[in-house]
Amino acid sequence: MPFGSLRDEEAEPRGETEASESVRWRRVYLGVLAYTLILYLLLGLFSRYFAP
Amino acid sequence: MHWLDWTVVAAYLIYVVYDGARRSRDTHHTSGYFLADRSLPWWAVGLSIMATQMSAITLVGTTGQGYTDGMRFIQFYFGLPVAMLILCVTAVPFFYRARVYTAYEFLERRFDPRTRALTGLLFLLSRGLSCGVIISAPAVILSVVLGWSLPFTVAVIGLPTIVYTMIGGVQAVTWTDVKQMFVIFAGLGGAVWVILQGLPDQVSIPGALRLAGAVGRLETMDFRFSLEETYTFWSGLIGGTFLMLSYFGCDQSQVQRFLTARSEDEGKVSLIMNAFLKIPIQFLILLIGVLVFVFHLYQPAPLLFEPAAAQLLSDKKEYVELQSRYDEVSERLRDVAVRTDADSEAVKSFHRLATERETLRRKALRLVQEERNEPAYQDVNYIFPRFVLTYLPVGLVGLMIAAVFAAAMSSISAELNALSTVFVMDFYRRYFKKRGTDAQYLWVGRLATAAWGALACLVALYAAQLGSLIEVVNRFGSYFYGSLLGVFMLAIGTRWATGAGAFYGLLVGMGTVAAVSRLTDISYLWYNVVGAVAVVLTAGLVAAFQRRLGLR
Repeated sequence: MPFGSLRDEEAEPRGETEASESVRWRRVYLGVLAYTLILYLLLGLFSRYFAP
Repeated sequence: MHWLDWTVVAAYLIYVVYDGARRSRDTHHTSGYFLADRSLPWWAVGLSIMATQMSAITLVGTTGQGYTDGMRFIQFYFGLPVAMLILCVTAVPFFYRARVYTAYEFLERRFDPRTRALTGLLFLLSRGLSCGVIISAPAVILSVVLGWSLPFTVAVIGLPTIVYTMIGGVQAVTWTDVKQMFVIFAGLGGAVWVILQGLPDQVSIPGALRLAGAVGRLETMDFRFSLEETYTFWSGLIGGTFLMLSYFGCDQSQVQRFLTARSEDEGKVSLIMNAFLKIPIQFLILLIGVLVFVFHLYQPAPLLFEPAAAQLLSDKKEYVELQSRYDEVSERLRDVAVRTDADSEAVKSFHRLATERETLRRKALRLVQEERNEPAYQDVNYIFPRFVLTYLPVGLVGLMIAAVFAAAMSSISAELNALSTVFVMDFYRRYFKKRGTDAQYLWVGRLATAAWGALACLVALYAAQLGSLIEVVNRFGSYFYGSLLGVFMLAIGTRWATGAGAFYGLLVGMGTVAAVSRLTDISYLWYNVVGAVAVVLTAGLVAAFQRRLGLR
């Protein structure tokens, strides 16, 4: 089976809805990345605060 | 164990079997049995993903690791949120839209039947035996600390899991996972409460944490870049991302979780839920281990946590001397630990005494190593169970043991369900009975669940004797993971890769990882990077070769 066909098998209708969905998901992913960075920062601060 | 603790454990076991079995009403066809008709909400799928990953040995071993080594282990999970995001944009849409039952089925559509068969077979081999290890590890510990026989402990963990997984399929797996996560959290919450109650009145929580910090137990970040160190920021972020991509994106026991989601979006949200919660949860579990360490500054701590090991050495003069010195140091440590809040000089002597106590423990561990001729002996996995049995009140002991059972059962049920799905869909339906009825596949699916469960219990019973075989299989599994990721990277991310490239790439990738592990000291977290890169490069060469020979 050629590559593209798997992806398109159940593809939803393209258009405005899909574009806005894609923007929404991009925001979610950026939010997760930002959260992860903050988590690393907090973990670093935690260690530093309780270090001797 | 008190009768009330027995009651709590029995109530948990009865409820979990009842809850799993009552899901059978929605599993009269293969799509319901293996994929829950793609009907599950994101939060249930997300909790199930977490429960599957958190085995009993994760729960017991991680707290023990927090006690002995501190919070450094948290770095192992640093790649997880990144991996979750990558899977949201790659694996989830591809698998979900392809309407597959297994991840390996997808490989036949993209490449060829032999790549599917090889990956499916490797999964069955490695997961089939590792499922036995998932039962055996907590069963051995619980049988030692509770004084139960090993066959009884294996049966208590294995049989209820087999029964509800066989009857209720993936629905039973998911919904019991949800409840099991609550049992685990309730048990851990109880343990935290007891630890905090056990601290002397004059010691505050920040003061207790400062003591742990004084001996390096709260270090969470190590920015050294070394391929040989497992727990560093970079190993966790880069190696960990590849490991988590392999585990969550290519292992059927995890892929099957998000394939049951109500929609593609809910599948993604279940992974994002893990991206948000996994690190904080692991932080909490490690912190409990650190708090047990702090607790044992004020309450007596055994020199060796495994009772049988202490018993073995009890007549040895060297051990008796170590024990006497250990008690003396512990006594002084307790006095100093109470004063450290106010006195910075006391912090210095605290550090010195704590280091001496650790040295004494290391010497005792070495004695066990020599006596048992076990070069890698550690008692890390006995620390938390021993704490639970000694210090938790009646009722809470039962809850904590139920939590360890819950952690084991949630992982085993998902493995059994995945093993059965791969067996039926990738082998039985594909090679042995192409035109069978849905009822036949369902029947074989239930039978396969029981058979894999029985095999896992047998492996668990004979794990000690099968030690070298299990090690070989585990090693084999670690060679396989990164290479499998490489095959999926080719399948999802390239147009040029061919079936031959993927197949030979997988073999070369596994060989490369095997060579790297034997010839170098590179940490296992990097094996997945090596395997994946080797597969992609080999597939590239094969594709170029085929093009040149006009085979494409």
